[in-house]
Amino acid sequence: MSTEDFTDDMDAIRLIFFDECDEQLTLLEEELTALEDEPESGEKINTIFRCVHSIKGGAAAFGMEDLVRFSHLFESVLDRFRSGELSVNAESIRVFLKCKDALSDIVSDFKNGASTYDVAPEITAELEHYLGSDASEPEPASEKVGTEDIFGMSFAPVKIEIDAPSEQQFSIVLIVSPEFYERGDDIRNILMALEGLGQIKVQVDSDAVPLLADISPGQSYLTWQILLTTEKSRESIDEIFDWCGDDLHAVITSVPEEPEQTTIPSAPVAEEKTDPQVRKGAERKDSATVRVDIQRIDKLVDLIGELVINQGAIQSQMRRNKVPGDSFLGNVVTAQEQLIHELQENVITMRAYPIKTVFQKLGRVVRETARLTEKQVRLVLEGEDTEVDRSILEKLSDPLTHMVRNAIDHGIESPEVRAQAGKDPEGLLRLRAFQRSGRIIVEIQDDGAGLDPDRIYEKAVEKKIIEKGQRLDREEIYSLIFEPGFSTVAEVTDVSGRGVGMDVVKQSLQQINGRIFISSSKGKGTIFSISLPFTLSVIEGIIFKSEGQDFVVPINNVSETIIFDNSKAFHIGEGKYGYPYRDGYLSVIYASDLLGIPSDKKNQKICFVIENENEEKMAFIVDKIIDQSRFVVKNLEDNYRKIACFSTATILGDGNVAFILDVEFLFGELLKKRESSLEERV
Amino acid sequence: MSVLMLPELLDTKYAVPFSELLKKEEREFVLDGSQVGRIGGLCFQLLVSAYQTAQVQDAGFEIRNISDAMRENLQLMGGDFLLEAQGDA
Repeated sequence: MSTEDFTDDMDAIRLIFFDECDEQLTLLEEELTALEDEPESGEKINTIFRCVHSIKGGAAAFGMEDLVRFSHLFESVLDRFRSGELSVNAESIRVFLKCKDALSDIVSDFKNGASTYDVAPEITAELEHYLGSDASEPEPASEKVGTEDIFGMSFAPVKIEIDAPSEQQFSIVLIVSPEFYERGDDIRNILMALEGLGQIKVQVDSDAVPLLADISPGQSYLTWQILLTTEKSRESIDEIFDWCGDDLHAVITSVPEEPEQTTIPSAPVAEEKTDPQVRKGAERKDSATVRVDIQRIDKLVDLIGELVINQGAIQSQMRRNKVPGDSFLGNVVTAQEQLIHELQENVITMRAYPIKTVFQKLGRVVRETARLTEKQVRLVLEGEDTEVDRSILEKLSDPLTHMVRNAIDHGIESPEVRAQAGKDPEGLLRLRAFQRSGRIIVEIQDDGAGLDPDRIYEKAVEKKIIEKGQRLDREEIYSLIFEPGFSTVAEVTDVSGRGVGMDVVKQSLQQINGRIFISSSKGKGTIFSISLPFTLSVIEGIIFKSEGQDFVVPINNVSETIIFDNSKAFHIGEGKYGYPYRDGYLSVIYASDLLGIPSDKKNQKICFVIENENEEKMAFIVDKIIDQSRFVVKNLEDNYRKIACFSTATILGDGNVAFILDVEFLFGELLKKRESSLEERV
Repeated sequence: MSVLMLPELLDTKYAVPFSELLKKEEREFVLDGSQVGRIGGLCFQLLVSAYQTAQVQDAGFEIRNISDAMRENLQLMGGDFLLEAQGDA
């Protein structure tokens, strides 16, 4: 194994460590939030302790001293709570959450290449306050007998006397550098020391060992994986590696216990075991998982996309060669299409993450914003396990962060104002995610002052966003807050402003095909509902022809398809037409005009009634509908460049590229035409 | 066929000469482990390499007269598969 390979391996293991840190921090936040409702829960404080302990253990293996030091201090404090010396209350949870945020910051800095981190002294002081006179002791707070050995038990540790200490399992991966041997040490000594702690099962990975002709006897090629079953604490294992320095890299992880081992029939806190949340967590831990590089899954999604395109090509050729659909070949191809469809859905699901990863980061945003605005806010999370495609999740964090800040800064009133209004001084912010009609809905609900439509209207007039006297319904008035220029620098506060207006939030959501709706009640609060697709990889759409070219319109934007009677279209102004629709009229855009293709419009016989997120409608006139199907989305910027009226593209079965319409662009064009009509009239 | 007598200590110092001895074994590897008292990581690695070389070249690999200490050392380091190559005493 070369030094380069060794470094690559270590980098890979380091990345795994940071992934595990993220998981532990997510669980930590989850359990700390739940602890607010159940401060007496011994199981929760145990889990919290384990999270911090795991981060400390991994950090020690990588020599991240500041992370080890802070997590050790945090862990020592938590130990006092889990042993029953101290009781959990709102104040201690506040301190724990602050420490969790500090841990996140340290992990994030180390992940980004930092080698040191100075924790804010006030956070350390708050922790040391709990340790009292022991705070100055540099060594770990002594473990209570049995407490370390009963991780995972569903009872409060100090209240139970255990005759025999329980066993735990640890997975240990050892990578040995040649220097380890050069300085006179040997892997044999390490393995013997581990064997001294309990029972070990050793597996050696010899894949990297060259054949004799190529081997260098001083190099180290082997990797060991050890499963240690022991009654000893994690610290005992760490001690073995303390003196190995950087020459031996050990990654130690605690292996979750079997469910039957975690259940003790005579446990005094029996209700803890029946807690559905706890049971849910346990089930999650028991399920077998494999950690896969996300790039591999992305590649898999791309490859299946290509498979779908190829499938389309086969079907296209079959049609061209008039192969009957009920022939043997036709049946096989149909069956294959179903299989590929199923495969595609499964792989896309593999790339889905629970929205929890975004929601829980918002917990910190809520705490910080509440502190800065001197408001009291209780955050309630619902539907955190709702899964969303990673590509969407990555782009959801920023707009949600801004909306949460906005809700606290502008929505929820100060405790005094709330009290005067007869409300609970503590405001409520609810983040909720769920699936509806194949889309993901994310709601941000506050019980604050609500939107004031009159004030929004006046401000929109003042900012020249609308004309004075313009008739708008309540929803249209609410939508004005998303207009560029509605939020100005003068109104930006330290909290929600930061130069980003709600128009940017809306644009960010549009990039992921998201739509946003507002419902609000003055004095009672506001709900922002974001509707998102499950994935950006596939789009359900209608393929149509215009002037001999193929295009796709997303089906979500098509409210109706009707036969277009050109004789009923009426001229409004230069290049502007209207068309009767139900009890009113629709503005018309001809596909040929949009594409800049000269046309006498004789062939344009189909009208898509297209609707945007504001429920505005327009008539989009095309030549012919070809089919309705699912299309694999190809990013235009990656493959060519951004084209104004199209969001993305797809490759059809015959190999041709079809552009997918950007519906918001169409409405933008319509607005331009309306504005120019107004100018003409003036 | 020659039998390579393994010494009592297969430690780090012995890794270089051991590698040279093993490389000289052209057709098959027949090792005698009766004297072995301790095996270190680097020599263990050479045994693994010899085993893999034999498998690739479809040659023989056999360890005869394995001492208790050698057995324990191989098991400790996850080399149970080498014990399967144990020949008759």
